[in-house]
Amino acid sequence: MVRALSVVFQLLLIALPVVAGVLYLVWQTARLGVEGVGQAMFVLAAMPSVLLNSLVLAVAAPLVACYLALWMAPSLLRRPRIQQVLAPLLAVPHVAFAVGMLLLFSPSGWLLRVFEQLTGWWPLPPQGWPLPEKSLFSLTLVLVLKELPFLLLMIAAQLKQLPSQAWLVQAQSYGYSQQQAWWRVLVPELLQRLTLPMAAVVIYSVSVVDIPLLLGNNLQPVLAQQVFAWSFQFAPEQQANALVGAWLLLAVSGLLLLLNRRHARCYAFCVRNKPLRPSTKAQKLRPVPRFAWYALAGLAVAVVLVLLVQSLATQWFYPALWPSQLSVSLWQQEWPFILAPAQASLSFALLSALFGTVAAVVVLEQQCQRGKQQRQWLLLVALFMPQVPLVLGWQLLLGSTQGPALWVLWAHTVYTFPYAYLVLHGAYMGFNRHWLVKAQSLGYSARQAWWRVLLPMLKQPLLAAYAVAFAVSIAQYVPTQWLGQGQVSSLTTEAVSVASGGDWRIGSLYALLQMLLPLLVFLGAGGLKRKSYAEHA
Amino acid sequence: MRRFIRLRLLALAVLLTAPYASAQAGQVHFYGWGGSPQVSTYMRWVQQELRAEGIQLRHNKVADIAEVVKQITAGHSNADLIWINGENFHALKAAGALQNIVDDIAAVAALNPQLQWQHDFGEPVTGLEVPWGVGQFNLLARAPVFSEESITAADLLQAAQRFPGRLSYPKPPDFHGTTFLKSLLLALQPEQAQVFQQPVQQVNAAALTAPLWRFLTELHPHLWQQGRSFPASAGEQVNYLAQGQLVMAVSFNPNDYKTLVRTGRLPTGIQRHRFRGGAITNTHYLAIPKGAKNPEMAKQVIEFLLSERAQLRKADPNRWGDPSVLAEAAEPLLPAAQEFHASWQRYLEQQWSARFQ
Repeated sequence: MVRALSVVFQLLLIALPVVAGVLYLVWQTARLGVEGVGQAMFVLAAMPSVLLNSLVLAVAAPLVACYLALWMAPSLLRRPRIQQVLAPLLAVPHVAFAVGMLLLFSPSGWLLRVFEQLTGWWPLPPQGWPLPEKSLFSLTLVLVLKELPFLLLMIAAQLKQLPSQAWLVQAQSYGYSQQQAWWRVLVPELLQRLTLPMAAVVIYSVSVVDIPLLLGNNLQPVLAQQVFAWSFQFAPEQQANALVGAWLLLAVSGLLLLLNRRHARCYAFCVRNKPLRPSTKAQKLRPVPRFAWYALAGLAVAVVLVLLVQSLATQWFYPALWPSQLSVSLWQQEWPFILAPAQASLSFALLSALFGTVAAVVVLEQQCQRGKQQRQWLLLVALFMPQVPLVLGWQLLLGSTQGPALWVLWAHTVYTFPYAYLVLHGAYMGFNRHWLVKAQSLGYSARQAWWRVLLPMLKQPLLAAYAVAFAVSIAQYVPTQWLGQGQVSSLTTEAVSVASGGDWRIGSLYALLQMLLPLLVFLGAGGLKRKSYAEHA
Repeated sequence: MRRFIRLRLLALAVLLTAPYASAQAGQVHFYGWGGSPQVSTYMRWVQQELRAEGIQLRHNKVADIAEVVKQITAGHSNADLIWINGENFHALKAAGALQNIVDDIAAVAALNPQLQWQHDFGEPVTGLEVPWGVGQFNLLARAPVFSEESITAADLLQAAQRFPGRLSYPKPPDFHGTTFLKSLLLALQPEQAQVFQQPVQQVNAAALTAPLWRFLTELHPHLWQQGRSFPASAGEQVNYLAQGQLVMAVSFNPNDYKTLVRTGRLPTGIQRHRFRGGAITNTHYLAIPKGAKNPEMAKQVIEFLLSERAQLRKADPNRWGDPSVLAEAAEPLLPAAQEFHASWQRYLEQQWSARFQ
């Protein structure tokens, strides 16, 4: 049964969409012919900086985020509830977060307005500010800050599964500080379990388009941004560039995923070769990271606040700290038009997150039963294919099939499933199946044991998977807009089209609405958990 | 209690399934750029008016109409009516994806005869689209930047030197950016205006554009971020102008200098300028794709959008401020310069990115 279901899910959610996408790419590339491909390769080869920028972004952002998260994570051991502060950051859509960051830290941002009010040095926004509106650095910084909470959430879910306190105590009994025990005992294990979440982060950094469009330098773009630009230019050679660029993106993603798989082993190797001195002081895990949590929470609050104030401002120009006038008129004006998109978003997200999580559980269970887990990257292919050719491939496959909303739901599930899988994978694979054996020895059937022991014990990671999948569904633009054929507008299709005009007052309004639903789900998922069985164990 | 739970479950089921209900008949799917709140508000009024005539108009907002063009050429669109011009029109015309509608639209007779709408960016319209509004390329600038309404290329360079790092333009191939290049080209050699009407292949383009590239090479070091990055769009540039990073932005709406200030998007004290030799003027259009499921109703929508009432409301600078295309409602526009032949678009974009990217 599990096996059959797993096969069905993998066919529906991986094979079908990916094959359709790849076939479309192959078909279009074949139409170009050798000469067309050669020319496009020549064009790409002449822009090495594009590839280089992509590599820098996709290597630097995930690594920095990863080690920042590991540095902050010890707080989770002492105060697991601190995880709650992540909810708002996890829920803010990426673009909304980027806009919030611009409003706070760009040369005309709030921070500099405060300086200007205090000193009067910059009647106009300063030039040469280290966080300009468009640069690889600003882009990397925003990605790091947005990926950090996701990785912390993943670490929190893994820590629940590890006897971390016992390990730390044991290490201390050998005379090592908790600090040493954390980096040498827990972190290698965590990194191993973070391989897949890191893969998601890496893939996201390679393929993200909307944030580079907003924050990236556009003379020296990243590859995904350039491919996206080409795919909406209609000259044949630009279309060829877009296609070859899409293949290159696939190759880069594959390469980085290979490197990512070595990451944990590489770290373990380095740690092992670093001489270890038993600590003389009974050094506790340093509380330093605490302020980082507050800073992160503060940042989330600041982003939400600045978006809120922006949506209420009739006008708000540098160097004013506060809009001269606040008004709810924009909210009143948009309110009647919000209900239908909000309902569509909610429906797609609730259902596709549910289907995605269920599918992930089924596939994981089958992998556990079979006892091997090969070709995991196959499950993730949909994530690193550029969306434009992928969705065109789906449309080709679907033809003019009616009932677009159902196809939108399917398309969302194609994305929620791999994310749910990623989030769940470590905890599910790390689950000690002896519990099941014990339960059976106490008279439960295999099925009962699974439902009444395994599921409750994995409640926390399951909820995290659902919440992440929910947020992923909320953020989908291209699949919703194209497969929905204009009959389904969601909060995100509205938000993206509105934002294209650059009027951040109305843009902020839609961004806030867009984050509201995932925020509720993240808070709910965090609030429900209280204690998992592993904490008793 | 149980009944209460059941009711809630029922409500949840309705909520979750409502978006999957099949589409209503008699709907016209209109696709257009959704980035302007003024346009959206106007379209809401249009929807309301059309409902009285029994037409359900759906305004499908997109971030870039090129998305829809891509969909139509791939044969996957359900658009009945689209808002396009320029390159997007060319792509659709070349793909043979548009219906010939001009003869079916009665309101075409009332169009302003001075409006040169038969060519869309130099490409003959051949009945495939009808004009909806007029764009005139103009500059928005803070008060002290330019002393006169019409400016020369030299004035621009001077301003860039006086306000280092405070001038820029949207990065081509954004069409505002490309039009900026055309305007400069025209401003540098006003005597060549006629030559730019010809296909780029038939003239000595390299020689004609040499002064432009020389000028830009001189200009760029004085621009925002020393010309190492450019605003991504006109909308983004307007934001920079509003906040003061830049002292200049560009626009295709000759009323924007009023509309944007009135709606609080820009601070007061913004003036409108244009390049000497005229504001490059073009038309934006409505078209019906061949795959439209509801072409007859879409034509009724076009009739309404071209009605005097609809056009007057559209032209109201308190609302959208997009000039009317009707003879009746003709109003003073900026002195116009003709659009370049379409082939210049790509040529300028390619040359620009070869040199500066």
